[in-house]
Amino acid sequence: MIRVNLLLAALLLLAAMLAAMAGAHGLSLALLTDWLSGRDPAAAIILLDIRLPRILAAAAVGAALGLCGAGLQALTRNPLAEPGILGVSAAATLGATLTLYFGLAAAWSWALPLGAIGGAGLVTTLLASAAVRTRGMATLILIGVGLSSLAGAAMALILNFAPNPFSLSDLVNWTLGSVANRSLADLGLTAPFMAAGAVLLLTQRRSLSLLAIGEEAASAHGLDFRRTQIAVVVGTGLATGASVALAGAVGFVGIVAPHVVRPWVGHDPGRTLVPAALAGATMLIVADMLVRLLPTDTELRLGVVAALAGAPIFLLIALRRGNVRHD
Amino acid sequence: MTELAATGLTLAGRLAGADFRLSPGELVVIVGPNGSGKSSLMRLLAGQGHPDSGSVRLDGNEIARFDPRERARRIAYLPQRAEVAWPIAVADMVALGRFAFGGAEVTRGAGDAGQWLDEVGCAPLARRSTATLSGGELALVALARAFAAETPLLLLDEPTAALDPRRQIDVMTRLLARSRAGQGIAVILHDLNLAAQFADRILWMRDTRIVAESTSDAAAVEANAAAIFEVSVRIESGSDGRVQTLAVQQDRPSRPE
Repeated sequence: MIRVNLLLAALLLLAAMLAAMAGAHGLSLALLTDWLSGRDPAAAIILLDIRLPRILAAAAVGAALGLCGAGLQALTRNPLAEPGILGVSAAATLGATLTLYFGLAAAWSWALPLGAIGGAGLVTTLLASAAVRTRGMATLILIGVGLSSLAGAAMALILNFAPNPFSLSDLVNWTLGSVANRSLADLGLTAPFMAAGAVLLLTQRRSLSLLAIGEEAASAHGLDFRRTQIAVVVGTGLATGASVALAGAVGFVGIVAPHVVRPWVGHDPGRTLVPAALAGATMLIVADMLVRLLPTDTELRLGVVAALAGAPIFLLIALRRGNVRHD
Repeated sequence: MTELAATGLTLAGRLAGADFRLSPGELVVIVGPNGSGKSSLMRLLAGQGHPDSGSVRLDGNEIARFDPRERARRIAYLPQRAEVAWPIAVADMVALGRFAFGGAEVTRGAGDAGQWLDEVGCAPLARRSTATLSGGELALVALARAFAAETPLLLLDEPTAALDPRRQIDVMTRLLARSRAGQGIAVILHDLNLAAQFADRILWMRDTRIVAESTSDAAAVEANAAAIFEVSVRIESGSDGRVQTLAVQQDRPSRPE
């Protein structure tokens, strides 16, 4: 368990180092040595003001989404649950774009993160109350798909009424998902919410482990289900909302990261949380590095890459579950 | 000494005016036709859900007032259907029974799982994944989990339903031994034969009510079975007066030739 976390943390560090070396000319140590020796003042600016915030943002968003995915999956006892699939990310994106559309974000820097968190919180609450009423796992996914489509439709409406092409591209950027050009200040604005969400989720890890035996048996063994549910829902809302505020919608990390690490921790849903966060962070750093290294004319968006890689894996998991009872 | 006492438990359409008492050291069996309210009664006794009227008291205090963990340290309740959402290891599932005693206990429990698995005859399964278990094996592992809580009181909803005859008898023998060691156990059964052989007291339910309470002696079982299940029973009792075998027959004495 601790060994798994250490291994994943080492992988994360390695990915971060590689990402720090990745630039317009491929992987290179030159910039690092220039910065350390103080030979080139530009090196410090590139490393500390451009690459470092970007790496940190990718890591924070990946960790938040991996953790939220693992938390939601444990709560719903469904390996296909994820902020993206369930419409939490879409609602957060909608919340963020609303603040952009109405010019609130320009007037007040907290407006965008709060809008994103509000949207995410609203949908997670709806989902959680639906989860209580309907016991089937398929139903929950369908409700998520419905909420996701609804948020998507509202997004389309906003794009439809976008006052000018300029703001249109601004809005579209949020829907694609990216960590390019993020500053440490942006990170500072959103990181506290992610941290608060993560802490809330982590306090529930024992309870989430217990929930593996079903809600009724778990509460018979002393689980306060309502409290766990509220903590996971609020935690997911905070962390997902904040990560959307920072990077826009980045899908599928929340489903792939827990899926990858689960066998390493004996499929224990509580013990999946931390490794899923580490794996999510690593995955997004690597994905963002690829985005920077691939020679495309227009910059490839992180959210696009994540979806292209993640959606097939989602399908694979769904297909493999075909022969498992899922009522 | 932990005592569970319920008075006038009522739940619309499912349970009407049920009184119940469970003390350490006794093995109480609840029987009754499908839908007669057995599981609803047991769920309320375990502090799961609220009755429309009536009360459940644990050591004299309203059970709803207990912190869930505090309650779970005194009563372990095994729901009718054993389920597990993830393919966790059998030993880890058993260890979850220690949840109410804190995280360190759960971690320790995974190492100690063998003793509880042994009680249900499943010690060799400890390292297996729960995904590979048969329905009966999963039911036994879930029972081991309830044992792992080591609570003064134990409420079991049909723990033998999925088991073969040998395992049914083994489980009932274990429950009897545990009750003689001081645990208070209430168990829902459908098998009158098992009920009559092992119970200290039998509660008979029908149409949402507890209609009779009897000992397990032959005459009482025969009379109640006839009245409640509309079957006739043939009983052989031993020299000690306890029921040895019980056979259930169709109520009408003769079948058309």
